[in-house]
Amino acid sequence: MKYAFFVGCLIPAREPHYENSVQKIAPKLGIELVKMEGANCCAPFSIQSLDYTSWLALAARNISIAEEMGLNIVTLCNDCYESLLMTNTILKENKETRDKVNRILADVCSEFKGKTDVKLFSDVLYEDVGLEKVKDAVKRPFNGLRVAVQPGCHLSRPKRLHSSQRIGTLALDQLVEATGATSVPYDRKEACCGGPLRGINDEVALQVAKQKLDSMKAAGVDSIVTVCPFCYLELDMGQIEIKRHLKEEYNLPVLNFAELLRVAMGMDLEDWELKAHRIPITKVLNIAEAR
Amino acid sequence: MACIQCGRCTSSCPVARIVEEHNPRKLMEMIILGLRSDLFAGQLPWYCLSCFTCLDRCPQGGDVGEAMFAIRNLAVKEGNIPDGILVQAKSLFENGRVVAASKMALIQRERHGLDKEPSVDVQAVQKILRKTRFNKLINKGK
Repeated sequence: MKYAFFVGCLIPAREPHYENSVQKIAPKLGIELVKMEGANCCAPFSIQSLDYTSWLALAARNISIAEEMGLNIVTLCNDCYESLLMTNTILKENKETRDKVNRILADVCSEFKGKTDVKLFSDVLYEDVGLEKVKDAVKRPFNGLRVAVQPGCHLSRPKRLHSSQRIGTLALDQLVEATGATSVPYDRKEACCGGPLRGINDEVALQVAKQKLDSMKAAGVDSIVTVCPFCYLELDMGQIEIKRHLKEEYNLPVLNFAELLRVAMGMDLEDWELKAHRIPITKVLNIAEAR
Repeated sequence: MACIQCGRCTSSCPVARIVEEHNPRKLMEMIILGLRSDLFAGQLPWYCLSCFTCLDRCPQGGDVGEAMFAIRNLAVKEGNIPDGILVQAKSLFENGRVVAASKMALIQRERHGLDKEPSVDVQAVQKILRKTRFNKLINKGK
């Protein structure tokens, strides 16, 4: 299984530990990640907010690089996923818009042809690797670990972008349970973490995060597991800020799913990766036991 | 405009629970009534999280979430750009990325055997953004 690997901006810049876990587990599950040379920022919702055409053109340029490689795109970030998937869908469906974008791309010797698909890493694990193979790879199950799955908005919204096969949150729940942990239901599970308002309105962003954390805490979970680098930041670092500004303390460790699976597969996290987490995760990792 | 003012968008919105000023139903009403200047002013266009819950729940199959992007594009044309977004836009034009890597991350990548940051064709990005007049647009911000 070979994919054009779209790593985005935020992960290499702020969360190299997330990328490292993906690089560790991918080859063991038969996934080959090929770098996309020259790719630019996905153009997230902030750029879509500024200028719709610039957004489409930048995202389309990325897609055209994968088309040249003859590979489907896999991304690690819910926002990259939304931007690339939405652009791919709009330009495949609408010839007028596609022609307009291709007139812009002609200047950089690039063309959107509509020949590739965009997937999130968890889609690849669920659809292409398959749940059984993921389960087989687990050597140290997280039996007894109670997890609040934070799917993040763009895993499955807007729903018109997602084929019926992609069942979003349910797939992520099953992947988490494949590691032996339990995905605990909680109120407002599908709601946003607040992250998109970071840097625009920090106060509201924190209050939205607090709504989620309150409901996770009420469900009595040991840990939060997400696939989105923005949710990760908002819920991990956000807990420190909420403690400072809103005087509420949760102490809920936040893991990326790739980290959870890596440890379950028998590979320890390194010291620098543990230190990247603001809320310490060691007590969660200690739950994993060799079969 | 297919909006029937049922308010399901507002009841679905995580921000509307916190900020009274942000009310997607009222935003749609303002569009219907053509209250341009109110719609594009101040914080009003910039509360939306782009979580698309309203879009998925609209009984008219409407596009409240997408309408927000249209509102923002027009607000931007009038120079209403939040600082946080302006920083991202400038970084995009200069580096081809909205978030540039910190020194710490670059050192960590090298030390722990991760590839160097993937290369970005900044020239191609700038050519595209000049053609779409994006660079002129962001100069309208503060």
